[in-house]
Amino acid sequence: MSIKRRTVITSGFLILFVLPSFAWLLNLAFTKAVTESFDARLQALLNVVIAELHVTPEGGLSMVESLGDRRFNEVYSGWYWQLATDNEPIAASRSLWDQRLTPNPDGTVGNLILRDGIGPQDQRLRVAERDVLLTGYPDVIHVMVGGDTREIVAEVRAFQSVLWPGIVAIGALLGVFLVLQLRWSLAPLRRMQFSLARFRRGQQTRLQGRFPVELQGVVDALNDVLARDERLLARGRETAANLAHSLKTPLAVLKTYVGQLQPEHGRMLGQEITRMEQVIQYQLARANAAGAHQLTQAIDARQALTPVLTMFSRVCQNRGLAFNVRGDTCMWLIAAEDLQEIIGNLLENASKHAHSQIELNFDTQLGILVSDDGPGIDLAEGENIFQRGVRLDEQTPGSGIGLAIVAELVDAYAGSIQLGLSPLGGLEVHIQFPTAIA
Amino acid sequence: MKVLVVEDDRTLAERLCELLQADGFRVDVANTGADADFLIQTERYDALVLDLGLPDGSGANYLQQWRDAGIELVTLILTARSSWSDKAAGFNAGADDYLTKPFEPAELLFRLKAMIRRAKGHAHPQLQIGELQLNTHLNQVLLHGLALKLTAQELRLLSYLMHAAPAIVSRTELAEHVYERDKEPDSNVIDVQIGRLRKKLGGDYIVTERGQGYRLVAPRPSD
Repeated sequence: MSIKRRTVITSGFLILFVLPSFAWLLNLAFTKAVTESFDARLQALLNVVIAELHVTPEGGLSMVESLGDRRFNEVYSGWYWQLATDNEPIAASRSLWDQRLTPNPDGTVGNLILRDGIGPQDQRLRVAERDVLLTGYPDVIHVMVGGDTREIVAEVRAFQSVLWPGIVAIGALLGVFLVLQLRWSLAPLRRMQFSLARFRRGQQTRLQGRFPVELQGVVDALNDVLARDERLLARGRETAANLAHSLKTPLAVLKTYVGQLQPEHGRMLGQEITRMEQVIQYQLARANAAGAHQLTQAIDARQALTPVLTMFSRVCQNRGLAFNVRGDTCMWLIAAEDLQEIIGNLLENASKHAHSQIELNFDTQLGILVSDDGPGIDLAEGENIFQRGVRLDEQTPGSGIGLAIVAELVDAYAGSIQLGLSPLGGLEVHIQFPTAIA
Repeated sequence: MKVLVVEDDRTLAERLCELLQADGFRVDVANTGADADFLIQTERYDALVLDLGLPDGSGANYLQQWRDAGIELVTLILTARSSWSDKAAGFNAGADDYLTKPFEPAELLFRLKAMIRRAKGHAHPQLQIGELQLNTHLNQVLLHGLALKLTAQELRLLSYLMHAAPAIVSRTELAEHVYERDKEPDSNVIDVQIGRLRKKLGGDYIVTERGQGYRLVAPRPSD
């Protein structure tokens, strides 16, 4: 699951579930607070009623009727008081008219009871009730004060009318923040992705740039692994090179004996030496070509080839061959050593077979074209020369490995090789790289 | 022709020495760059066979030093390295040709002779003066189209004179280039051997330039 999706899910839960729950709790608390304050008012009114209650000398009850609030005198206003014994009502506010409230029969004397009740016309009431005993009065008196809960409901509604839009607004704001947060906190990841892509395209050899602490660790570790990879590869190449180097001199010694043995033995020894030589060079070439998949910087072919071209122009001059190079400046995504290896081997091959001239052409469109005016080859057999150890010409010294190395390298870069008849009269080798490289 | 072989592997150096001697070369061997440096400063050579991997430094560095010091010795480098950048770096230090180890002995001889020939101004492997022909690859001398029988020492003398022609070659030069280092002859021996060679060639191929040395020329047809 993507980090984006994870973040969306957790934040979505927060916005869609936690936020409404919070609002609901807030609503509950507010309702409770409003009800309590309503109850406190009722209780205060109840206390006033009880304080105003007197037993008359005749054994009746006297009561100040109005309680200073006109609503107790308006019929069914929602605000009521009532005095009652267990059996019958004694007195009630004018607002009750002919209706009576039902007292709570379970009350204990002196206890305050706050409860919901039903008033005239099914009004929902909050009722404060206390049972009192007055000296000189025989019965327990249920004193009740009731108020219409519409007032509470109205207040809660008013609160909610602010609360819900507020919650929706906060939710929307959180949503916007979520998007921004995703953008912002995932930005380093995107940068890392970008850096990785550049690395893959070979535009850089390490992940570059500063990253947040959490990613920097990963980036550093990755770079360490890349560096170690490079070291291992270099060491592998070095080992292969050292091995090859140390074997080549003894082989050269052995070769000097070939001509001095009986022809039959000499041929045998020669073949065996050639085999060893091929194995060494082929494995060495493979160790070097292993880097072909390693991504590298695009290089200027002309510049990378300068030492090899300088060398061959001198070699050809000394061997009495004309060497023509036509190369445009072209940037190729290829390791310089690999390009040198390809061109070096092709030129070596050409300079061995040419009678009087060699040509090298390279540019982005063409690829690489090496031609000579040597005897050429039978094109039907052409493919064979790229196989390890196959030599079409047993006369010219060499191990027949050079072109196999070229084939191996070109293959590693997914390029193609075509053999043809050169206009000069000899062999023409044409190498083309895929567009990703050229 | 006198060649210096610089190769740290003693077995290979010995084998190269035998191989070159068998083909008529005079050979000195150095196993280190320092030895080679000493020999090059003190002796005269026609060619240098130089291994790039020497125990006391890269052969390329020595070659560069010699080139900087103005020593224009034709040089064939031997390299076991297979990377072209290394090969090119070694070569571009001032070599004339290269061979990659393990090389074919025949190719070594071929390259070496071609190098020496070109350095002395001959493009073709067949040297010809008048009716006298020297095939440098086969070490074969033809006079009027017929093979001429020569001893190894006579062949070396003639070959050196033919390569040098038409320049005059002094006795000292001949002593330095044709004879072993520790067996350098007095001028008497050279005169005697030149005398024998003259007899075999007939005509006036070898001219003595008084006080200067010998010169190989095509005899005038009237003679």
